[in-house]
Amino acid sequence: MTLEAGERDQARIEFVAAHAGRRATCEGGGHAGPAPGGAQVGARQRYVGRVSGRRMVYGDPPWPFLELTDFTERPEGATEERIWCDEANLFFDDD
Amino acid sequence: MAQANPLHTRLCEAYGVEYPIVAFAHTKDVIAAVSRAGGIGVLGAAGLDPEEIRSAIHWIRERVGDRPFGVDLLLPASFVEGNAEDLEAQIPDGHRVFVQRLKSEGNIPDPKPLDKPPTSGIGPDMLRRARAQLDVIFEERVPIFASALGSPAFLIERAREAGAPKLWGLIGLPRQARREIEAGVDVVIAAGSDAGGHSGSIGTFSLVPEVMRLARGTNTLVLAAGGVTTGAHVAAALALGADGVWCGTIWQATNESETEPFQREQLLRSNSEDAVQSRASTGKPVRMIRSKWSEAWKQPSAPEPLPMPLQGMLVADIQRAIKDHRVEDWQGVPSGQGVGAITTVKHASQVVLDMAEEALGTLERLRVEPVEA
Ligand SMILES: Cc1cc2nc3c(=O)[nH]c(=O)nc-3n(C[C@H](O)[C@H](O)[C@H](O)COP(=O)(O)O)c2cc1C
Repeated sequence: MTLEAGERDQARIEFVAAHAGRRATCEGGGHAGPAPGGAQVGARQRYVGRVSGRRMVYGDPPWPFLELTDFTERPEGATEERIWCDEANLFFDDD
Repeated sequence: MAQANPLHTRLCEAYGVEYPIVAFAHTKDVIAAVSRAGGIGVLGAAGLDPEEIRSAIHWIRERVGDRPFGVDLLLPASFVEGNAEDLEAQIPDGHRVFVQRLKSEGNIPDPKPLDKPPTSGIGPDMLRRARAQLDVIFEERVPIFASALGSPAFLIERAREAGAPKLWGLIGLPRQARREIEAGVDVVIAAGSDAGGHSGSIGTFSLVPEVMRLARGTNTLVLAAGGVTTGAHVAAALALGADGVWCGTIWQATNESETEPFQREQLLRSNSEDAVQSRASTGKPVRMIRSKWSEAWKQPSAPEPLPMPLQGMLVADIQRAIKDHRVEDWQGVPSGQGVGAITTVKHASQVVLDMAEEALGTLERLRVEPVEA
């Protein structure tokens, strides 16, 4: 995450050992940009992989994300090796 | 015996409105018209800066008074690290050449200069921007906040303490709904794959009853979304157990909408088969009316669209040029599969009233009189 200097205090990164290595699915997605006509649209994106254990909490009220990596499934064409997934949209396989 | 009004659902009760009809639209005039007509308007504000959101809220509030309305943002459900320069470097030359070719073949001029820098769809920017936008929604005590993708659950405590807004979340899968219901989100919007814009893979007819079962016995209300364009759809949604409907495409064909006249024409002459999914604009499937743009990316000589956000970066200028210079046959308006039922342009308030009347008529026709024992 490339945060600017003054914002670093806003994003706390911690390590949650209990989650590290667990397989999970992220029902993710985000802002995809303007569609024809200019309306902003979002897109859903699914990733299946392993939780690294890194947890990032952004701002107040705390907005938590878990890092997912080692993907066995990624959106079509995607090349990224790791993502931050909204904790409420991350589902552990063993839950 | 007097019949209870079947349109007076728990949504109407909880929000003090007449009809269980919610409009998602990007034009504030549509929002004000729908809320004034007895529904609920929710403004799509993802593309607006915080101060633009504030002035839109003031404008709407002046027109709707104490009636409920909402603001919708695209909270990310996931994001990738990185910065714009690194990502630009990943765009293959062949893709740039293809876009140049489309530009010259289509006689598309250069875009007009921008008066402010474009919004980046890249991770940290999304978080910063969403936070600043959310602050305005809380400061202005907007009655409803709807989150398009990420769960609004992390805002529950703040919203309860402040007394506003009510938190609504769009979901495309039952397990997302379960999480939001367990967290105590006020309304979940079950958006089926027929929807315009971003949509999941499960159809509205299958998704809604499953989400209803998850919400049973809780305080969370459920709205049906995806393909709702007529009163018969409203009646069907209520029959599935929903507390109301949330619709997007239909409002683009209203007099108040800022949709270009030729885009309204597209909506009027299209049917469900024309509402195709294309990755050509953003890298992710967006449902839109077929156009020269969506077709060009399907030619055998066309490269595969890049993943998000690279495709959006690649085509940002040409897409802006197409819009700036109104190159009509290269623009397909985003639309859901229910578009075939849109046959005339009306005022937004009339759409609300017609939907309600048709829904009542449909339910009346289906009502079976009790048989005397
Ligand atoms: C042009 C357009 C843009 C959209 N942008 C958003 C958005 O920014 N946020 C959001 O929650 N939903 C967005 N949607 C989806 C709508 O909220 C809604 O779920 C969808 O329109 C419902 O299906 P329908 O179009 O068949 O009525 C968009 C829909 C359209 C047609």
